[in-house]
Amino acid sequence: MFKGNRLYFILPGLLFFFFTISQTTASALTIEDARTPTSPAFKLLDIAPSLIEKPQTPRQLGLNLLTAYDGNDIGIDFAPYWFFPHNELEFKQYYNPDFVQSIQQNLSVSLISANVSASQTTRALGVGIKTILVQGRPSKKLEGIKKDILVEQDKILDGEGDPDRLKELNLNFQEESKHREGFIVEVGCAIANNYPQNNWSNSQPLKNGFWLTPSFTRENIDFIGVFRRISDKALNQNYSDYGAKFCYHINNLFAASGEYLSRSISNAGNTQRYALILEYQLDKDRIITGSIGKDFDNTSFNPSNNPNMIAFLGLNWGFGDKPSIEIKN
Amino acid sequence: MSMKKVSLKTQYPVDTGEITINIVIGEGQLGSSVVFLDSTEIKRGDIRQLAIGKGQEIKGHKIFIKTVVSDINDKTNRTSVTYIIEGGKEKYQQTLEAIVEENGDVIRYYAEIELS
Repeated sequence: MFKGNRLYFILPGLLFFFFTISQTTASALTIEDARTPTSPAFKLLDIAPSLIEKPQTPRQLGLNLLTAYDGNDIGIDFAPYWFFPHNELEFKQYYNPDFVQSIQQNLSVSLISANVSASQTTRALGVGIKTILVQGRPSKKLEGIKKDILVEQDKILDGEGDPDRLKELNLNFQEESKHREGFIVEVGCAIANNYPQNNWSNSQPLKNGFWLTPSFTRENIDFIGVFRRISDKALNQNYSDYGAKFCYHINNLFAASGEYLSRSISNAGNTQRYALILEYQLDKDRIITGSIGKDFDNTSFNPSNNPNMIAFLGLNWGFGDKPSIEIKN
Repeated sequence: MSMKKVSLKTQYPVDTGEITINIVIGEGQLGSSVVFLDSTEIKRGDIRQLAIGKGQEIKGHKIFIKTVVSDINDKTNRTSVTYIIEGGKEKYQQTLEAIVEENGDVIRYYAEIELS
């Protein structure tokens, strides 16, 4: 009875808080936006090519490049190291690489060709590279899957075992291997030029960019730092962004995080954004999110003249921004 | 899922020294092997510097090696197994390669080595 009465007070209070305090200034720039992109050349031009190819061999790359100049936008993303066989590269070396091995096995090159004028007379060409300088370590979950794979392989060696079960484990391993722990440093850079009248001799510098993303992940701690510098030659402006986000998973249901992001534009000053975010997992699909802090100031960074207060309480239904909490099985 | 099979059959001339076998699973993939001398299992798992016996003692016998390789590297679909045999008249090294048809597939490698 008492609990029921208490609910009558809490629910309207929450609704009042939700409708009156949920004034948030949605910043265009977030920590995630500033981290090293998968394909730096695509990001630099801010174009999602209508066709993205990921060639696996030099021959395939050559064929794709030959067909790139057909007037359409095309993006090619490839990993040169994996064009060639590596019979000497053992599991241990691949999953625990040293500095040089990490750079070469994670190096990816992105190329983009796109029309950037309505009249289809100006083509932009961009090239970018991305790699991982420090790769961290495999997760504990990955070690568990590895043991299961070895057990299943052992059975197959004896003429027993289930090949489908082994394939399922292999695919689980591939998925889980993307989530590494410890200290990780990603770096990327890209450059793009414009070619008015689709003429090589009309080459004009368009943009260049550099990204550096150090991060640290442990069981219940996530840290990510970002540094990004974009030089826009067409507008004659340089953008620099740096910041960090720290997230502490108090338990499987509750996470607290703080983030700071600073942006400066040449000849336009700089401004900062910082926020404290609390997330509580109600159930599999719903997360209560509350945040408080300060957004970018009313400058050219915030041209819509929004207020700079961040004060938000709301319910996340499992779409939109990725929450910090993940339901663990 | 059907498992692709790759085989090797060869001879290795022994001498008076100790014969050793190394098996290298390449392409960052995960594999496991079992080694038999005739019908006797000598070792299974990761095979490194595995001593088989003195050349003159095992001359005329056969080594059978079964290896299962899983495609767990999401950056390539290549797999490879390199057999390195030492201690005989000269070093022997042979690499077998295969590409999985689908992500996560498994390749079975077989090697039969006659010690001559």
